[in-house]
Amino acid sequence: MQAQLSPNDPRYPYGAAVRYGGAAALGALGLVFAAVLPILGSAKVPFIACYTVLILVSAALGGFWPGVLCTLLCTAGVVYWLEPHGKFDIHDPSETLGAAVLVLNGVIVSAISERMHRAMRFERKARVLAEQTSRAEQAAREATQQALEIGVSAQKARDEMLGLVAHDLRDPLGVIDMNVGLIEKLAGASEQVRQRAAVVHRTVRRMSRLIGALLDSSQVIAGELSIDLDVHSMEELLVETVEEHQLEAKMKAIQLDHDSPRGLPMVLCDRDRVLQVLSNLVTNAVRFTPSGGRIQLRASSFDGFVRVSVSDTGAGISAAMLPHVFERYSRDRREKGGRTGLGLSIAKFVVERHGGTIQVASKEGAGSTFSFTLPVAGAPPSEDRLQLVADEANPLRSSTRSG
Amino acid sequence: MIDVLVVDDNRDIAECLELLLTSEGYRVRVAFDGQAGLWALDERLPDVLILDVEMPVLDGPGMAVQMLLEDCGREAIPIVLTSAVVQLREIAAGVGTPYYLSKPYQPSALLALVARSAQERIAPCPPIPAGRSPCKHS
Repeated sequence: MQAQLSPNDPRYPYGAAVRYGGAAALGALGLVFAAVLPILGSAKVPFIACYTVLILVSAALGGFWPGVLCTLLCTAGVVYWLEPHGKFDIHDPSETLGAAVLVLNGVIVSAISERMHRAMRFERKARVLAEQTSRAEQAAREATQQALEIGVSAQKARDEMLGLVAHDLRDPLGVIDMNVGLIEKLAGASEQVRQRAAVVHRTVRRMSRLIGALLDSSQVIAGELSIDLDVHSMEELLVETVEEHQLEAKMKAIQLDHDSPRGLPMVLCDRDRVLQVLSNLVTNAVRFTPSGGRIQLRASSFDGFVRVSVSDTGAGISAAMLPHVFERYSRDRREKGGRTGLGLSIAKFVVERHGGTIQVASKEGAGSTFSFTLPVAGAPPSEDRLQLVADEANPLRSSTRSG
Repeated sequence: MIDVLVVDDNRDIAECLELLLTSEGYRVRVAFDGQAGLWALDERLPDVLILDVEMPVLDGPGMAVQMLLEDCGREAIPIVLTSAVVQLREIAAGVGTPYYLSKPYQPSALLALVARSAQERIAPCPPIPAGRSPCKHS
C-alpha cells in the first residue's frame, strides 16, 4: 500500500493531486453538509447514507488512501452533525458505534475500489499485450506469406527460364545433327568420316536427352506434364525399347533382351511417356553395367496391373543411396555418373500419373532391378488411382510420394 | 516426284531440309514464314507440308488455320509439324495433324515421317468446336 502514496503513481488514471484533492473536496463537502444544513430530524438518515456515496466516489477515482481520507473527513462531519450538533463530540454509545461502522465501511469500500483499480489495470495491460501479440503474429504471417510467394515466384521464374533455354538449345542442336548427316550423305563419306559423324550424332542425342529431361522436369514442377492415355501392348513397347538400345548395348558387349508371357493384357498408358521411362531405365542400366553383362526386360501381369522390370548385372546401388534414387538432382547418382539425376524422378512422376508405382531393388556389386506397374486397360480403378485423380491438382505432392 | 514445301524461319534448318529431301528425290520449295508459305501454296499445291511452329509474321498453327479457311485443295495437304517447343504434341492435336516430330530429330526419322504422310495423306482435322460440323474431307 505504501507505493500508492507516491505523488504520481502511473498505475492510476489520474495524478496524485487530482486523486487526493478530489477526495479532500468530497470529504469537505461532507463537512459542509454537517455545518450548514439544519437538523432535519428523520431526514438525517438519507443524508448520512450520502456519505457512503462520497466515500465510494473518492475511492473509485483515487484508490485506497484517498478513499480513507474521504472516510475520515466524512466521519468527522457525521460526528459534528450528531448531537450535540456543532461539536466534534459524541455521547451516545450507539452513535459512537455508528461512526465506527462508517469508518469500517469506508475502509472496506476503499479496499474494494483499490482491488477494482488493480483488476482494471491488469485488464488494460492484458488488452495491450494481446493487441501487440496479434500485431506481431499478423506481421509474422505476412512475412511468411511474402517469403513463400518470393520462393514460389523464384522457382517459377527459374523453371520458365529453364524451359526457354532448353527450347533455344534444341533448335541449334537440330542444325548440327542434320548438317553432319548431310555431310555424311552428300560427300559419299569414308568410314572415318562416318565414325566421326556417328560421334556427333551420339553426342547430339545425349544432349537432346538431357535438354528433354530438363524440359520435362520443369513441366513436372509447373504441373504441365500431360499424359495422353490410350490402349497399348506392353510387349510392343518392350520390343521397341530393346531395338532402340540394341546398338548401344552391343557397343559395350552387353546382352540386352526382353521376355514377356503370352497373353499379356493390354495396358492403359501414354505410349511416348512409357517409352521414355523404359528408355531411361535401359540407358541407366547400360551405363552402369560393365562389358559382358546382361540387361533383361521382363513383363508380367497381376491384379489389374502389368509389372515391367529392367534388371542388370551392373555395379548396383549402395544401401545408403537406394532410398534417394528417385529424388530430383540426386547428388550421389550424379557423382557416380548418373548425369542430371532427373531421369528417374521424371520416370517416377510419369508412372505415378498413370496410377502405378515404381520400385528399385539393388545390392552393391550384384546389379539392380527397377520395376514399375501400369494399369491394365479396362481394369476397375483401384483406391490408389482414385487418390491420384484427387492429387492431380497438386502434382508436386504426388511427385514426392515415395514409390 | 513428291512435292514438299518446307516452312521454317531457321534458314539453316530449312536449307538443310531442302538438301536432304532433294537428295532423296523429293521436289522441294522453301519458305521462311507462314505468310510466305501461303504465297507458295498459291503458286502450287505440294503433296506434303513440313511446318515449323514458332515463326515471325505468321506462325505454323496460324498458317494451318488459314489453309482450312477455303475449300481449294489446301485443306487436304498433310502437315508434318516440327518444332523444339515443349508442347508440340498438344499443338499438333490443336492443328489436328497426326504427323509431328520434336527437334532435334534424326534426319532418317524425318524422312520416314514425310514418306508416311505422303503415302497416308491424312489431312489436318482440328478438334470440332461445339455446334460445328466435322471436317468435310475426313
